[in-house]
Amino acid sequence: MKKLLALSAGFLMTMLATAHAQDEMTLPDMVSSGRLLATGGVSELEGAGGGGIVPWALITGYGTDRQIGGSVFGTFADTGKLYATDGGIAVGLFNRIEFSYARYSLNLGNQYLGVVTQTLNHGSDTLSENIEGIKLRLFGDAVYDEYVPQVSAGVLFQQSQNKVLVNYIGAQSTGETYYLAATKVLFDAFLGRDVLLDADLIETKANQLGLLGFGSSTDNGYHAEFAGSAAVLINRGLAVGAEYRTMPRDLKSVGPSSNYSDIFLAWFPCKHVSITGAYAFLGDIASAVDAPGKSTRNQNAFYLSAQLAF
Amino acid sequence: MLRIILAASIFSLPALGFAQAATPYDEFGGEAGIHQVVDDFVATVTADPRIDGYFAHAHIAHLKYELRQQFCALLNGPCSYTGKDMKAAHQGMNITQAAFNALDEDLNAAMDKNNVPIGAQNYLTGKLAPMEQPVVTKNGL
Repeated sequence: MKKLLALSAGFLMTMLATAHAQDEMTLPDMVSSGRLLATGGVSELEGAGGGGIVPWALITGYGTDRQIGGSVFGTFADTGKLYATDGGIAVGLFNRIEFSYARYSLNLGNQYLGVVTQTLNHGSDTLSENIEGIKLRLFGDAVYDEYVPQVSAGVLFQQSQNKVLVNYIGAQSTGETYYLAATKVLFDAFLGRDVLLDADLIETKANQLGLLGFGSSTDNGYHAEFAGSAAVLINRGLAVGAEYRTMPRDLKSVGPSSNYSDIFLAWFPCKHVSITGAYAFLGDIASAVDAPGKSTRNQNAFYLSAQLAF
Repeated sequence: MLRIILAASIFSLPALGFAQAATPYDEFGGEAGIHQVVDDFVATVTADPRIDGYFAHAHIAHLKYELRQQFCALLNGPCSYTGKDMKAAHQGMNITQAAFNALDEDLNAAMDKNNVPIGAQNYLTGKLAPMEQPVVTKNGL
């Protein structure tokens, strides 16, 4: 991953030098948020530009094909028994390539799996992972192209910070998730409103998005998963929508991950700020190790996310 | 009896919201409405520091005429656009995506100012979006 970052830095410097040499584009021009409102999406749990639980084909921030964009975000979700914190940073170069970093944590609430986690995890009852992401826009533009969607391919490099626990339950502590995303904006498509549609094909071994590691003692193969989002833009700065994402279900030692879904409302008062509220259906978290009377089944979370962008 | 029910249903359709939908042209307020939106739009873009340079040597009255014809035609009004195609009209102007989008934002402001319903706004924007390809010639990656 360090190589990737070095490569990207080199790529960026070359492009900046080229742009500068060609027409003396100034730095303020390069960061002036030339794309249209809301077309950078928000930040999904793994740190990529997207919805809340689905990476989209859109490149984060508001940079056009001659500009640089970026975003930082913080997310908090609470099921009443468990809570998640998430934060990260991402840059989008020339509306072509996106680099992201996120740290995603789930606090187990000092019970259930939390007791095991505490024993193996230096007393902490929190599961964490670091996620580095790269996304390349392959072709298409979600806004300008009439029929062709914007299509991007991405990789998430994930590293659990709970190696001992994750190995104990039969999973690996590092993994990669590969995705192909197609995103399209349809104008005047539903009650006069613009509509955004996204569909993803995902290859992954991640249990609970990687918080419970990758693969299991009985199955270490990649799984083809599907994710989709649909949003209606009530006005230019307000989107309401829903998402769905399927998950690998083979971690029998803790209990299989459930498919995730959510309904959300995202508000973009300007290009530099967005606030997303959602209700997320996370299903069963660790159903196989629930203590009597302390179920982690059917966990639904209130979700709040804020993003700053340019 | 069936005929009466049918007739009653048809007459009650407007009340249920199934009335013949106003065309985007009507929602803009027809010829007069388009005239006002274009006037406000051109006033905004020529005062917008992001893109005013592109209009420094433009013949404003002619530009407004072409825009009125084009919007009217795109909104399915009783006009036809007889100006140059988008590629020829913008050749050599070195237009960037940022400039194209700035223009769209100015158009949004002009439509908002004239209370154009959101469906008609989105209809017109949807017709203009594919023009990015012939209009924007100064591309990056």
